[in-house]
Amino acid sequence: MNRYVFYHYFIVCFTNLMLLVPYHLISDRFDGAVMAILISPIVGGILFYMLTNAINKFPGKGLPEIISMYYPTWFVRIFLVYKAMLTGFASALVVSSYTVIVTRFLNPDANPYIILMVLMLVCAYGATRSTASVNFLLEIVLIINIPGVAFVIYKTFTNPLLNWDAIHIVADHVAQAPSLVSFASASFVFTGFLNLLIFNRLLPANFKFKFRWLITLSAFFILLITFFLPIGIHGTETVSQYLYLWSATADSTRMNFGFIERMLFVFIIVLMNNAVAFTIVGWHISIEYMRGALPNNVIDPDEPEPHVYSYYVVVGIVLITLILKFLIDEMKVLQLGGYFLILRLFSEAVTTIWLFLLSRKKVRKYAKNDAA
Amino acid sequence: MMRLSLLIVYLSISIVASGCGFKDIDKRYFAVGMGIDLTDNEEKPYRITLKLGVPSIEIDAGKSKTQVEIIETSNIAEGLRLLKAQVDKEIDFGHCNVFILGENLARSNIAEAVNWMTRRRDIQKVAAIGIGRPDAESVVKVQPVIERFPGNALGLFFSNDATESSYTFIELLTDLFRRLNEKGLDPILPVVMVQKDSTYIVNRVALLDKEKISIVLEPDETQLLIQLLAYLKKANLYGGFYSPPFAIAIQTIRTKYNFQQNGPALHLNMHIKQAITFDEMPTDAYFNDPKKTINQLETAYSEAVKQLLVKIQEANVDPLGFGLRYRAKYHLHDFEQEWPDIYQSIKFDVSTTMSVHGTGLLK
Amino acid sequence: MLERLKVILAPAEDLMQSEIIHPVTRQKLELAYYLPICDEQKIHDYITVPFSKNQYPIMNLFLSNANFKRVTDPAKWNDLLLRGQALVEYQNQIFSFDALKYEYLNLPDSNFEPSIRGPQHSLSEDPIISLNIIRNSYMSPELVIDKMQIGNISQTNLYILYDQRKVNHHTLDNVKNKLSSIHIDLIHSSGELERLLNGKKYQLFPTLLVTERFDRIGRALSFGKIVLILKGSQFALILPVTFYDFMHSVEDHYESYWMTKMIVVIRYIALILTTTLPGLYIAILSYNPEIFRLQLAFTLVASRSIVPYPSFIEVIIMLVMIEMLLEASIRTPKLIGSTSTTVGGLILGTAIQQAGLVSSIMIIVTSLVAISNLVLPIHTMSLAIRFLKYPIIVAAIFFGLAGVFLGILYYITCLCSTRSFGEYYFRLRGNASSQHGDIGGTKPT
Repeated sequence: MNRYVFYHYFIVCFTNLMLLVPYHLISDRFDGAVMAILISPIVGGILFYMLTNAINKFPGKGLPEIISMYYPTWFVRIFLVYKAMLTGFASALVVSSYTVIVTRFLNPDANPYIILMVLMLVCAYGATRSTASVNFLLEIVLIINIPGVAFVIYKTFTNPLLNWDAIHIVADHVAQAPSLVSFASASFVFTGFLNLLIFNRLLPANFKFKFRWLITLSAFFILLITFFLPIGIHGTETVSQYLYLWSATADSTRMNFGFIERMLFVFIIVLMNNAVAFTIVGWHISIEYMRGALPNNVIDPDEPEPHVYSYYVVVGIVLITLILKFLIDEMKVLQLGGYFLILRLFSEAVTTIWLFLLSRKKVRKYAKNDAA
Repeated sequence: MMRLSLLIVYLSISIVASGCGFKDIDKRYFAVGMGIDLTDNEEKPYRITLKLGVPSIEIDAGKSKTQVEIIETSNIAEGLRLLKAQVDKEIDFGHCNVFILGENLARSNIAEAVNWMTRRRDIQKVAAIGIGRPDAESVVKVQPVIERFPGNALGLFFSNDATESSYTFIELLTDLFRRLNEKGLDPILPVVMVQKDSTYIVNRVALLDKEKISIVLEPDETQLLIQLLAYLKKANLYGGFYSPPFAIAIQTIRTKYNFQQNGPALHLNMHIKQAITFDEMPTDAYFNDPKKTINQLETAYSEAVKQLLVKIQEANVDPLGFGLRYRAKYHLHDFEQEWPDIYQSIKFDVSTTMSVHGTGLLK
Repeated sequence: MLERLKVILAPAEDLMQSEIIHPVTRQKLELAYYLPICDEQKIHDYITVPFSKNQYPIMNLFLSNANFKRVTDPAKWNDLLLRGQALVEYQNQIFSFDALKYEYLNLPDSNFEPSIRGPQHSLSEDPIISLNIIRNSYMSPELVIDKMQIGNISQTNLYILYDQRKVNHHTLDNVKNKLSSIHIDLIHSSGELERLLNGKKYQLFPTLLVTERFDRIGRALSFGKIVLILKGSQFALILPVTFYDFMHSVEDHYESYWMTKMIVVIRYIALILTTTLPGLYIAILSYNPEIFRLQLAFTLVASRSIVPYPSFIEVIIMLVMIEMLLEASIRTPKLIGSTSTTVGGLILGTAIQQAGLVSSIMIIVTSLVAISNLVLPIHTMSLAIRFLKYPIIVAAIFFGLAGVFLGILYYITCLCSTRSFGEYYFRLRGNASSQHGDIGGTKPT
């Protein structure tokens, strides 16, 4: 079912929109962010097509299996460890920024390290489950969350404070050439398909990717909404003064009816589900990559009990995240996130194109065999 | 192995987590209103008035109890810390949805106070802000006789669920903070006055030149301004318009404007579309000559709006966001330098179209 | 005939096929019938005894007695057997003999899963009676009944029922392996069997459905599930199950469409309420009172203000009390049971609130939690859910709202990673199967 592709795409989309991405985009709002937003779906869409076409040639195989079909073990190991670190770091960034939001708004007196620890425990538990379990978890969480996200966006959209002139002013800066960081963060939204590099193991052999253009298009609209709505609510100037922009935006809407007065809390809960699911999926992928790099690994997307490697890897990830949290403060996370986004954009683009070429090669090989 | 790890997790959680912000609801005071005044004292320029709700089991009209704490301080955050020493419970701002700035503060500089509010995580971004006349303390202190919940009366004034007055402008913290910083949009704040020591009256707005009051509008001007700003109010109540012998109630209103460069002069064409009903008029006046009546009303309304716009323009404030619209339309290199001159040179052309929905029960 | 029957019919443990050869005349009589749905006595009286006595030419009996009918079309055998007819072959002629037995009168009333308009009886402790009813209601030749013994000493009969066309054979092998690996001396109830089969010791959710209703068993069989019936137990086990099976009551198929759909929604709401409400109470009262609007917050404060200890102690007192009440009313004889609920619920509840030991909101919360727990239709799930609120309370004490929602996420993760005999337990099941490109299905055999 194509809905699984959709879930992987949108979990990345939702989570990053509300945590990392707006910060970089908004600070570049007069300097090319609009252009970045316009270009990124094209680049993201092309990569999406390339990757899905490529993995269609390798039914039921994840990246570790595909790579080890073509390259020597030492290379595969280095490559997979690098990929695992990249994916693990993205989730670590999300979980640590979400911790900051929780300590800011929900538990102001709590020790952020403990909150982080608890969040990570739940994520670690989820991430060590089998690929199929993670997939279903993602489905359930998204189904619970999509109404919440839609509600927040709808309420913000109908907020009388929304000022179209401000949106117009920012949109007028479309001609500016985008900076690298704004482009990287905008296109990050469109990279959810990369999860398929592991979750392809679950997809049945006769899987056909459909509606890829629709997925990209709707992600593009969500990106537009998350970029322009806060500008409409906060104006062209103050919008860059908020650290947690969407939290402030969600807090700017009055809820007249119902038990709850502040929409902020709805938003934070929705965000928490998203962030935890994102981290579980991210860490799971990271674990699978690492396991691919370890000797004597058994690949089973529906294993009844997690392999002991999973536990080792997840403990490693948790410890690294904790150490990073100790070393890096709140502001640096945002800045570092920018560099990370650029690095990730390049390496993921390279991986995708590489895989695409590999799949072509495979097709050519078979064509040759048939001819002979 | 499993048990051991569970035990370790359990112990670590219970040891470290035992002191993290667990505070019962009955150990908290809910601030239900806060006032910030400026004093003459150079060292302690702020006087903070905090109204705390005292919960009581009986909930009935007039049974609400509040406690008012006042402190003078050098800055707001410091003042709150000092205030904590005066009360026996934790102060919680989560429910404080009305903040009153004293008139003398608003006449000097509100930026610091607004910044402080925006920065605090527990103050709602949808809290209503008003100017207290003559000062915030006297407004916050008032204990309305018929109040049911502590501090509810003032809060209800600024929410759409209860009273909907066409004279009351509701300014939310998000909007105020935006207007403080936005190029081409200036803050508006409602002015809250106390009547006979027990009720409030909120029928004027103050227009601020970013940080301080530039002009305070009269009630009828206020109503007119709110009608022009209708997009800011979700309410369905736009008030009316009085042009003897007619009094009309406005049902719906849509305002559109655009800039037009006519030779050297920049014109702002504003077009207002209204659906109205008649509240007061001589019998048969409308039915005898509908066109003339409507024309007369339209001209009167346009004239009133134009006068208001010119008055605002002369005060050199821009609450309607003309500057923002101008920025969206034309590109200016240095907005802050160029805009004031452009604004002063704008000529206003106002036209109104009214359609009559009904004349009430009489002809 | 018997040779052909073996080809046509599923190898069922309960299909009696016998060949009787008269000791004197060396004449042969072939007899086939389904044991549970036929009256053996009647067969005995009309077929076996006359045949062996040989006082009267048995062929004349077959031809003259109206209970015997000649069957010419072998295609009808199947149908006749399932309708409680015994098939007799004598001298190359086949007769059917009506020996139908329908034992609905010997059944106990259904107590655990009562229904208003559904069947009013439950399974019998005699498995033959139960099988009689099941065979009568699930008249399919595909229904297979296997028999095996469990318990080294007790050698209790266990019947495994499934529809051989619909069942997942991988799951079936899995179950049979598990059953044969059970080593226990005595087994008395299907509850014991449930625990033995349930797999992991620390599992939060039941992966077997215990039922006493025939309609549920029939429905389960038609969905390709496996039913286990133990001799001497009034409850059957259904497996594999999904979480949704536990949220479903048989009544949902008997009543008006919209109302039953709404009731299903209400069950899910009840599920959420019963797990989270106590945790939310603590979290909101002690960490984030600003969530509620002012009026509601003041109502909470007012009701809390007389209570001398923190919110979580209040919650724990009330919940322990309600657990004791529930436990007491189960264990006491039925006549006293209602008294204990009255005493506990009404008198204690009011008194404890008036004494100022517990706030009135907390009383509402506790009753809501208890009631919504009882809304869940299946007892085992309702018990499992009853436990779930306690970890959430602990999370709420330490981490407030974040703790509550993290706890829920943890449960969702648990549910998603649970498997019921290799089949997915908790997933959104569209109409798609793996042939249509859906993920999963079970592993290939």
